[in-house]
Amino acid sequence: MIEQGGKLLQQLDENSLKNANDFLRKQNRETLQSMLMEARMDLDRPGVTARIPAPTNKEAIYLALEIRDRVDEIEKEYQAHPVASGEVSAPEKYTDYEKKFWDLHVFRNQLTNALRWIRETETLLSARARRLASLEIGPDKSEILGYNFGQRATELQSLLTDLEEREAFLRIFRIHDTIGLDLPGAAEKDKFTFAYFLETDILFLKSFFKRFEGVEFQREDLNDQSILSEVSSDALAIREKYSDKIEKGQLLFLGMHWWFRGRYGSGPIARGLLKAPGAHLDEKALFPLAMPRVPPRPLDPYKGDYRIPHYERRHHYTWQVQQEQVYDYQKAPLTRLKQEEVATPREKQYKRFY
Amino acid sequence: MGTLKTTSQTTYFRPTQKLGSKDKTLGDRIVGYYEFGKSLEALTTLIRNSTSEEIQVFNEVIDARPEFRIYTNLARGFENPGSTLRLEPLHPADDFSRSGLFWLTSLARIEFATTRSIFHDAESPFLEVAPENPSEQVIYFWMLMDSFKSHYYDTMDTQQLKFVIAQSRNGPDQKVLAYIRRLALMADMYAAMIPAASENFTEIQLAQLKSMGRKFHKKFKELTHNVGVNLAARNGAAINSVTDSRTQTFYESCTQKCARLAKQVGVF
Repeated sequence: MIEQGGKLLQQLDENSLKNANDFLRKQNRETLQSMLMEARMDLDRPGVTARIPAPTNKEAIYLALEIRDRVDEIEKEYQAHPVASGEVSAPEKYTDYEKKFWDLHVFRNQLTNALRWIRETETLLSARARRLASLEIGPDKSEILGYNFGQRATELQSLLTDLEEREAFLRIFRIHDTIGLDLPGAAEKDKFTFAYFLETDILFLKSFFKRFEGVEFQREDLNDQSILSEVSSDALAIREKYSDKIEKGQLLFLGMHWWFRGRYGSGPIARGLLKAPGAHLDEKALFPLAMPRVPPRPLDPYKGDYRIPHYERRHHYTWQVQQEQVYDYQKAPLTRLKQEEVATPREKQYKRFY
Repeated sequence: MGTLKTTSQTTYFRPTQKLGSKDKTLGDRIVGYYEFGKSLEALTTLIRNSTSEEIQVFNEVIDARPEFRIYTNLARGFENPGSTLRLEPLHPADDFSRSGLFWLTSLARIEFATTRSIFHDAESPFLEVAPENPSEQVIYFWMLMDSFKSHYYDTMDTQQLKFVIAQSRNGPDQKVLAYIRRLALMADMYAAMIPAASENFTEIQLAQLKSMGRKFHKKFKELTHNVGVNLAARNGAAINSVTDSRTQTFYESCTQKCARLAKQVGVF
């Protein structure tokens, strides 16, 4: 799509492009430039996609417009989210911390991607400035050449820093709350969970202050690093007392984390069953997967219109993986059983956030 | 199910380990292989060092998170109501959804071993990863039986398999190779259930398992035989995009698994 579509887009003048898109619309398809951008963004998986062909000059304009709009959407969504608005405060319920950390995790990945796109686009446009300026693309599109991508990158960086600070504050709040809990009187399952949270929060803060060493924080309270030693000394006694629970809690939650990735993760090839070529060469490249943005609720494979997780068992399908594809895809038993009743609404369940 | 002896501890969870002659890289790239392996590294250590009371606590932690619930007994939609191997509900409202540490590890072990079986030349992949904890073994073999039955009912009496066997007489194309791989996977699952079968099944159940094994063996043997005849006749010529040497190795591994299956079916 990218190779052929890019060449085609480059060759068509505005009028021909309009006619081509009218034809595509009649076929219930997206415009050529939308399909191209979708294909390109779908392949944008660092550590997963080896190489994407460079855009043609005209495509570069559409790509820049698309990226500007997508980044605006991401920022708008983040700014409107409760986790990003107002002063940072502890949630009403202790159990709500996890939800907040998850939301921050998702937004951090989205904003990091957005920042990378903006920087890459700035480099792309500046490298081709002269050629792009001579393109006949109409004033509505050429305004993107005057867009200040550098300024946008600075704004996104500032948002990311704000997000990091918010998380640090929330971690501090949770440490205080954990210390304030009646741990000896708590249920056994909560002891494991609380002890694990305490440890991860302390480790996060240590790493946070190390990463931002010498950096002036936007929130002044964080510039006083005694906050960490104060929190740590309070937590030390608890850590020692519950060291066994911390150790086991770490194993439990680590195992659950990886299991979740194995169960719900999706690769870029062979209907999500396979990671990219070369992924096996580097442990870091084995990691990236498309993951559901909201922790899913599994559905009974015998009920409903579609299944969560997508593969009720991966081994029902992996035997079909051959070369770089799923050869002659055979529906697994449960899918076949229900195929008549399945209207396949194809709700988009996955959103990239890694 | 009772206990089952395993020969080693579960030490197969690193994707960098030595691999066989099949497509190692493809196996390492299967989504879930690395992830379930890492999960098992942590969870098997946890199980080994925890008391049963602690495991009960872990179950409560897992149970509180719906994303870790697993729907089981997936073969039930295809199984004959008269089957003696049918897994019955625990209570009238049982929807066969389960949660808990051993359910997580059992699912992970089976998915992990599948890649070891299909792509890594492992001789007994499902026994390699069989749990040491007796309570976990019950769940593991329960799930393994369900997995085997799902594949069994999805292949044995289907037009698709008839077509594939007919096609295999003309040469091992991609589809034939995929199906023979599936049958080899089933043979590995079957092989793992056999050592403790007499402890875990009644005589009637054993008879049904044996009957299933024989029928399965017949198809597996036919498919393997046809591929072997064609490989010999082609005498080294490339077959589609699969190189001869890989196909030959693959064929030999399938032949061994088929011979093991024959022995196991006769052992009962």
